[in-house]
Amino acid sequence: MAEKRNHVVWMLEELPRLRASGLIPEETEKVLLDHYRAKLETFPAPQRIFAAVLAVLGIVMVAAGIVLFVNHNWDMLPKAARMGVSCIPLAIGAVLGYVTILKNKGQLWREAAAVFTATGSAVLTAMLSQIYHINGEMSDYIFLVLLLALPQLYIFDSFVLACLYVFFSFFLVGNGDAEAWRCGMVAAGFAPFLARHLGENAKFAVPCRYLTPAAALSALIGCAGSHYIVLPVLALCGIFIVAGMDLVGRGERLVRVPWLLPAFAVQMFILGAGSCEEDVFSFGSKFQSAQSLWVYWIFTAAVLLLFVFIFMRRRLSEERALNALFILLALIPFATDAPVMRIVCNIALGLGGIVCMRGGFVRRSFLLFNGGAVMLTVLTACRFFDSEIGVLYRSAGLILLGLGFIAANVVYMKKSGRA
Amino acid sequence: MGKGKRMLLVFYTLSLAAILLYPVSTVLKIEFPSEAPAEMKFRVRAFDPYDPLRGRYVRLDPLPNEVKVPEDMNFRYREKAFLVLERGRDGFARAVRLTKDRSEIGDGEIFVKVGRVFRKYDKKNKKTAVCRFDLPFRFFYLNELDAPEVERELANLSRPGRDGDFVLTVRFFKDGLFAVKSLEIQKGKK
Repeated sequence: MAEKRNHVVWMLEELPRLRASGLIPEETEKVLLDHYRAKLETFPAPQRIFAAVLAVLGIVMVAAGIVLFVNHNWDMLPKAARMGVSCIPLAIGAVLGYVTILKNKGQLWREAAAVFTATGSAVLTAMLSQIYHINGEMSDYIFLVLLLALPQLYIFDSFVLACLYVFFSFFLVGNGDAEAWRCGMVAAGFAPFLARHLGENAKFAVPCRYLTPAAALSALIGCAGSHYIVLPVLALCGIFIVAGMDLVGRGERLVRVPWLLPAFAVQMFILGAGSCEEDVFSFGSKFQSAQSLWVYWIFTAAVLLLFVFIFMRRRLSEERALNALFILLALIPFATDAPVMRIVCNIALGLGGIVCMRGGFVRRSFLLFNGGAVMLTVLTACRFFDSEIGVLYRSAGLILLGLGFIAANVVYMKKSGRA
Repeated sequence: MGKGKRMLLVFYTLSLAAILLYPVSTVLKIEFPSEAPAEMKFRVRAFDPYDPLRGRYVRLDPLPNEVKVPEDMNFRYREKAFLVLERGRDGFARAVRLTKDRSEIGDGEIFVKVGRVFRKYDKKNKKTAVCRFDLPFRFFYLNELDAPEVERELANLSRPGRDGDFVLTVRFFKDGLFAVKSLEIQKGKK
């Protein structure tokens, strides 16, 4: 918004200069000036935004003060009055909610109604526990609050509540007492919201792209954290990389696709670590319940199906094939107990690097080319610290690879006309 | 009013009803119980932490926190279970047995869900079948001026030659619901 305002201000300053230099006639200048002045008035002035921020800060401070004042006098109030006070945030939320729906209010109202209703629900449950001294597990409380927040998320289509939902889901999955099925339910409840908003013309498409990795991480920890996590991690990385490359291929800037680099970094970390240590592909704790194992497999199957769906949407390409290969190699420990994963990871990194560099070169894709270069760098770095290979051989290999990188980059730049 | 708006109103009203369901049902169960709740006492150790929003509270470590279990009963890390309680003649609670299956608890038995159950191993006898657990009533909220005083009193009581106990009285309702009634000092030699 601010950027567009700056453009209009620049235009208004530029028009008299254009007329003075004879590039546009006076009539055109007048028409354009009227047009852009009218447009400028539609943007909120920076002073108004600053005033709004100050007003919000003031309201938050007053609310915090009231909370502490009530808190200080809390014991003097009878139980019924304490319950009544505890209901106030929910009542405010309900009023906001009904007004928003009945009067067809805009997004700001929708966000306020959703957040106030969900917060009111959380406050009421917490205060009930305090007033009646009904202690309980933190995971029970967070689960209940998240579950009750879900309808508000969909009714008001609230992005702020979605962020809060994902943020607080970490309190559930990070709490060792939470059962896996609860984490699965929380993730499953949120998935349709993301699916709806990740569409091309969705209202919150880009912000939701930023929220998706956090939601995926939360679901991953909650549903698969105690089991063989490598398989769903590689599948999720595959989804993010393939979908991210599709978006970049459609002309999206990297800053609007925040999936590619983190997913690629995680993938490289797993393959790099796997090329050094066999235990990376171990099956996790054996002391888990059958229920938690079911949740793990349902989650992993859902992630794998999503990968297949995204994989099938477009033609086969290097990044698609490699990500499918990385997921398949994570299945090897199910087939054999033999210590082969170190070798497999080394081959995968080497092969992936060469295929990506070649693909980048042929398709003139700088991103793919550099992805391949990074894969080979990871492989080289891992082998550099590998004490099982002699120093002289490592030195020779590194020099050769380094020269190869430089030569490949120079050739690529010349061919693609960037040099 | 359009159909979409009407649907939204219905869903929103239903969601509000769902939000109110837990608090209202809990208050009704506590204030108007269908059966008189069973009251039991627990000896507690306590210290005084701080909650920035809700003020001070006394963090409780209630006893008993151990119970004998069958030799073949094992628990996974942080597994939850149901503890069946019995009221002793002195009014204090006694842990009777631990079960993973709620259906094994008979009608009229008092039980509570306990967390972080783990089998306690004795260095000398590794087959000692005793489980340790956390009872769920671990907080007692009180006035910010009273909490440090309670903690001071507690420190006095924990010195050698103490002549009393911190006692937590808990009311147990049907279906495992409970509410802490009071926290008081019970004078007299143990």
